[in-house]
Amino acid sequence: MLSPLPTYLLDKSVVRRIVEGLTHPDRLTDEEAMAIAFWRALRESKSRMFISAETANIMKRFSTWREVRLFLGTVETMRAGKYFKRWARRLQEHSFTMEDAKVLGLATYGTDAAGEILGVGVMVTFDRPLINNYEAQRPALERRLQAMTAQLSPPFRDAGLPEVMHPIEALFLLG
Amino acid sequence: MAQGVVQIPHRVVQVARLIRGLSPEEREQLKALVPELQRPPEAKLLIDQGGLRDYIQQELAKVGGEYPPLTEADPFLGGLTVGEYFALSDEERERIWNKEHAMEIEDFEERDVKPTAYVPARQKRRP
Repeated sequence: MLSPLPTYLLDKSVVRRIVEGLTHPDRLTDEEAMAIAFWRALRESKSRMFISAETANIMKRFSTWREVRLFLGTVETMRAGKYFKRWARRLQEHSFTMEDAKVLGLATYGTDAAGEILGVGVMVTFDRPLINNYEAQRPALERRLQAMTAQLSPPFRDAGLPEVMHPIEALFLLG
Repeated sequence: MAQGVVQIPHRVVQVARLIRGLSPEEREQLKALVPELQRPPEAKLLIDQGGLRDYIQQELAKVGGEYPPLTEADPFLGGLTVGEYFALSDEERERIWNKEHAMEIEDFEERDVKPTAYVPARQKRRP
């Protein structure tokens, strides 16, 4: 199945800046401004925005408030698809923390509510060490993923690594 | 280019990606050659905060009729009120978010994915 819409997974560092920024639009920090400018650009470009099921469950506790409701109304929940756990465990063997492994695992083996997507094109985070570690390890991760997927059936054998970017970089690439 | 954002040439973005791919040792070598790179990014130069403020207020107004705004006394993350939460430092708020995201990998429920599922990572081009 082909989808013409670009897909982005926002990690909790991005979600936090967006939600916090929505509560005080008159005094945004630099990072909140970056996150909200990025979120706005994704909305205007009709991209699909995902947050993890874990983050969604946390935010839904506060979904009766307009700031949280506004944000949740613009994102979809990315759930763990088959092989998520296996890939996340392997990511931990490449010096990624459990938090990093969870979000990177979803970015490759996550799926939407209908099970019609596998992973995302871009994962966005403010976590520079995560971005740098990912870039440094990318060739090894490509090999590891290829070895893991070789024996799997579709669509899992086609699983790929996402781009991992800081919001400011993703924002400019949207142009 | 997204509204409210100053345009940056594509070649600058490409250089940024190249730098991110350098090893720690290579980065130190680069900093020695270009000391200006050691300054933190100045997002204020890149983003129109006034335009963002207007945008947020417009969007909040669209849902404001149905849902109340957060107030200082409302309960929020970490068992704190909204007022208490925003009185914390950025690092302390980050710690609260990290604590809330404590789910173990093994506790995730894996769902079925259709054989015809779209795989975005295989469709895109690397910039």
